[in-house]
Amino acid sequence: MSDRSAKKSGAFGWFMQRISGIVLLATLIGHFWVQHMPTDYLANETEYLEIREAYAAKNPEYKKAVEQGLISDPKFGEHIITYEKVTKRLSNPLWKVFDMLFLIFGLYHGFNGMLNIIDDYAKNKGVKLTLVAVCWVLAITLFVIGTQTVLTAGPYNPPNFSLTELLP
Amino acid sequence: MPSIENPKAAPKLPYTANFQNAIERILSYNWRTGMWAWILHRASGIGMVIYLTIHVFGLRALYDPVQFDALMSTYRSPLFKIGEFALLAIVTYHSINGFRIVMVDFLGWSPKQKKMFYATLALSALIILLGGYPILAPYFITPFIK
Repeated sequence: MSDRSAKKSGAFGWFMQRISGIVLLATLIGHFWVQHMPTDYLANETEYLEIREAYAAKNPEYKKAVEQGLISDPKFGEHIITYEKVTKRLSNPLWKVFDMLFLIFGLYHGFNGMLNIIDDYAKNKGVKLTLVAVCWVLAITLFVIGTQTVLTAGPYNPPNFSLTELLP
Repeated sequence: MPSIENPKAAPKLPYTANFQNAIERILSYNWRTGMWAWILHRASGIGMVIYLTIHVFGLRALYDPVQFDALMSTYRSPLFKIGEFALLAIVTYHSINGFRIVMVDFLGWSPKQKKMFYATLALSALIILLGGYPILAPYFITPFIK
């Protein structure tokens, strides 16, 4: 029994799944409140039309998208997520911390859950190793992309890392 | 008895592992409340990981006002609104059932777990209805009242 450390038994993962779940419950309520409920963090019909007009006036591409119907009209009583409102919220560092917490705990909880499920069903060693590797690569990629999105959201223009720009 | 020290000493499965036997096995389960709570929790969890992946990649559009607002306009269609409502339902069930699991594990509420599962369903339904109204109303309710 002496070699049955907490790590081997999975007790740490079990405990952290519950702790991260509690943190997620708190952050989830906040996230849902600001992104899906009719609050000031979303644009109401009049605000939406004002924002759209202001952006179209200073950005020709935006104007083109509105004319093509890509940025569509508001519906009666609708509250809409807009670039203006999201970047305004994220210009507050506390909201950046909040979104980072949501991202980190969400990814940890989600992919820890996936590892548990893989552990339950994948009996073949090769299949199991492949699935676990996919989970890790995906989780790390999402963490990097999500962090960049949250930290650089706003008027600051992040550097372009696409290959077409780097290659001659 | 399967030994904890040596899991390989556990008895062999009483059936051959293949698709048909797996289905028969699943149908022969005692589908009681705890089983439903568990399978719904697991299925909703997988669903949310898939959603999270798409969501984080999609949010790269926050680079550019044109791209972002156009993407949000795409999401503002009746089909996506139903999707948003389904997401609310999945997230609500998973979080409240997860809270029930934490209470059972940490506070030793196991004797009440069955009742708590019915409470979970009732509370989920209430939150889904209250939270779902502002999401669906501008698309499916207000246009028909006016």
